[in-house]
Amino acid sequence: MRQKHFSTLCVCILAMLLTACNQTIPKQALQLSQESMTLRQLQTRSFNTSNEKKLLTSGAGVLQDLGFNIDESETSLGVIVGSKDRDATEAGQIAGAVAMAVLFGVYMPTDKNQKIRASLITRPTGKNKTNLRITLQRVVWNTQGQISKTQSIVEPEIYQEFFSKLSKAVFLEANEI
Amino acid sequence: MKKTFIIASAFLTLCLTACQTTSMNQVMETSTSQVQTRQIQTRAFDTTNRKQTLRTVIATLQDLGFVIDKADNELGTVSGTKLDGYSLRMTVTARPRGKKQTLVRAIM
Repeated sequence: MRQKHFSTLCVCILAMLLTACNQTIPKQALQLSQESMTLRQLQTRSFNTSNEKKLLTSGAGVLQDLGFNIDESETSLGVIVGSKDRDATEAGQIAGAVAMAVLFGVYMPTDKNQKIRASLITRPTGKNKTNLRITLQRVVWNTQGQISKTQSIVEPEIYQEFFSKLSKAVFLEANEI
Repeated sequence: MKKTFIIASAFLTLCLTACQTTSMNQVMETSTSQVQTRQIQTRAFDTTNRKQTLRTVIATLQDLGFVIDKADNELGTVSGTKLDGYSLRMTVTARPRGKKQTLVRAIM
């Protein structure tokens, strides 16, 4: 008797799980988070120039220096979009997978490839002032070809490095080196 | 045992009907009427500067953690994607309404 009830319950739960067909997006997805202001500061630099086009060109140059391909551009709105495909193998993950295989005989997929996307936006903010903001994100696929990570990049060091490269590029181009 | 199985499978079928039967239906499928859809997705702003509106849209999308995919000033469209464990794609269009307003429409 008890077994009967159990099997019914199992089938019902399975059915309920199946009805949840769609992947859900959280309700707060479009709410400004507390970190959004910090992120904006991290991703933005102000340049003392009214020449938006030149700044945009410098930005595109730096993206190319970093190995990005330009996917899309709209200079009249100050938009450049780029992406690059890179390896995503991490030594720690591989070590973990090997340990799992040795200890339990279980195959664990590890991260393999990633696509990194960047959108670079310039915006005149006043007389002789132009802001440049870059946002980065990445998608990681594992060894089975499934998406294992989809995330925005929020690491300060990455943005600091980008802007130090950009300052250099702006300087080089201003001096025509 | 047999009876339980029949009841269970009936329940399963009932639950499954909540999912689509033919996925081809999705091509022209809408959950609300055309007018209603537009009303929900559109807001009017008191400005005629469409380019500035588009730039503001881009800045807002960036504030919300989106990376811009495409932008077209001629067409007045901006698309972006947010990745945060999920993937959310959004397209925003701006077009003039009358002589004083700009309509901004956001679609997810």
